[in-house]
Amino acid sequence: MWFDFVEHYPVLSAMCQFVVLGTLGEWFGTAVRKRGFVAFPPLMILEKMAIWAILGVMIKYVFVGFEGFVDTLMKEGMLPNLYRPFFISSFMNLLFGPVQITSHRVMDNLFKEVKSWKGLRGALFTILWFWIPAHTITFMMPRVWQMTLAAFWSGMLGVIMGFFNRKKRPS
Amino acid sequence: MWIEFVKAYPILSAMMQFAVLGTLGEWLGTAVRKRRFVSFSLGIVLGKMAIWAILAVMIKYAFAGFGGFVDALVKEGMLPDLYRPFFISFFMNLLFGPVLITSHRSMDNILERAKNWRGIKGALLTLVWFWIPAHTITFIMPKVWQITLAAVWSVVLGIIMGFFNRDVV
Repeated sequence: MWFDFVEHYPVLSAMCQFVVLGTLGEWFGTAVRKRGFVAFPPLMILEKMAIWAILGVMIKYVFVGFEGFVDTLMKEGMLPNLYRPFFISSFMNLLFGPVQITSHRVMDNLFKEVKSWKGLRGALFTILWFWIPAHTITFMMPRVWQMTLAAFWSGMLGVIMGFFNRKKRPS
Repeated sequence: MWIEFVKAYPILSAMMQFAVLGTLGEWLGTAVRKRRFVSFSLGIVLGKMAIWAILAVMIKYAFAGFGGFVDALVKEGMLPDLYRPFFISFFMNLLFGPVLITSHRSMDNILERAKNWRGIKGALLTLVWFWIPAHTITFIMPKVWQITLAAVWSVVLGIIMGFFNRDVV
C-alpha cells in the first residue's frame, strides 16, 4: 500500500515524508543541543512542517532531474559509465545544495521574522562532508526508498549538528 | 569544417569560443563603462581567457546535463511536455547560475589579487531578467550553435552591465 502510494503520488509522498522526518529531526537536534527535550509551540511545528513540505517538492524534482542529468552526460561520453550514484549525488549537491540550504534559511528567517545568517558557511560545508557521501548511498537504493532515506538523512544531520552546537553542561 | 570541429571536440571548441568571446565582452564592457577603450595587460588577457576556458567546461557540462534533467522530469510526468527550451534555461539558471557567477568572481579575485564581492547581488539578479530569457532562445537553436550563442550572450551582458555602471562624465 505504501509502495503504491509512493509510486502514484511521488510528489505528495515526498512532502509527507519530509514533513514528518524533517521536523522530527529538528526537534531531536534541538534536544541534543539543549541536553533536554524542548516542546515546540504548535504554530512553530506547523511552520516547520510547511517549510519541509516545500523543500520536499524541490528535493523530489532534483532527485529525478539529476538522474537524467548524469545519464545524459554518460550517454554523451562526458562522464565515465561508472559510479552513477556518486555522480548524481555530486552534481545534485554542488548545484542544488547551495540553493536549497539558502532557501531553507530564508524561509526559517521569514517565519521567525529575523535575519539570521549565522552558521550558514558551516551549513554549506555539510554538502561536502555529509551530503555527497550520504546521497551516494541514497542513489544506490531502489527508487521507492530514496525519498525516505533522504528525509531520514535530514533528521540525522539535525542530530549531528545538535551535537556540534551542544550547550556546555552546567558545572 | 567549423561544425565538424564543434561536433568532434565539443569541450575544446566550447573553451575556445568562450575564451575569445568572453574576454572580448569584458573588454567591450570596460570600454562602455569608462567611455573609452582601455588596453588590458597581456597577463590580464591571458588570465581572463583561462578563466573563461574553465567556465566554458562547466557551461558545456551544464548545457548537456540540464537537457537530460528536463527530459527526465517530462518522462516522469512532473513537467508538461511543452516549452522545453524555457524549462532547461529555468532549471539551469536557478541551480547552476549562482554557482557559475560565484566561481567566476572567485577566479577574477584570484587573478586580480582582490577580495571584491561588490555587485554580486546584482549579478545574481541577472539570472532572472537576462539569463533565463536569453538561454531560452539558446536552447531553441540547433545544438551545434548553442555554445556560440551562449558565448555571444556573455558579450552582450558585458556591454549591458557596462552601460549600467557607466562612469559619470
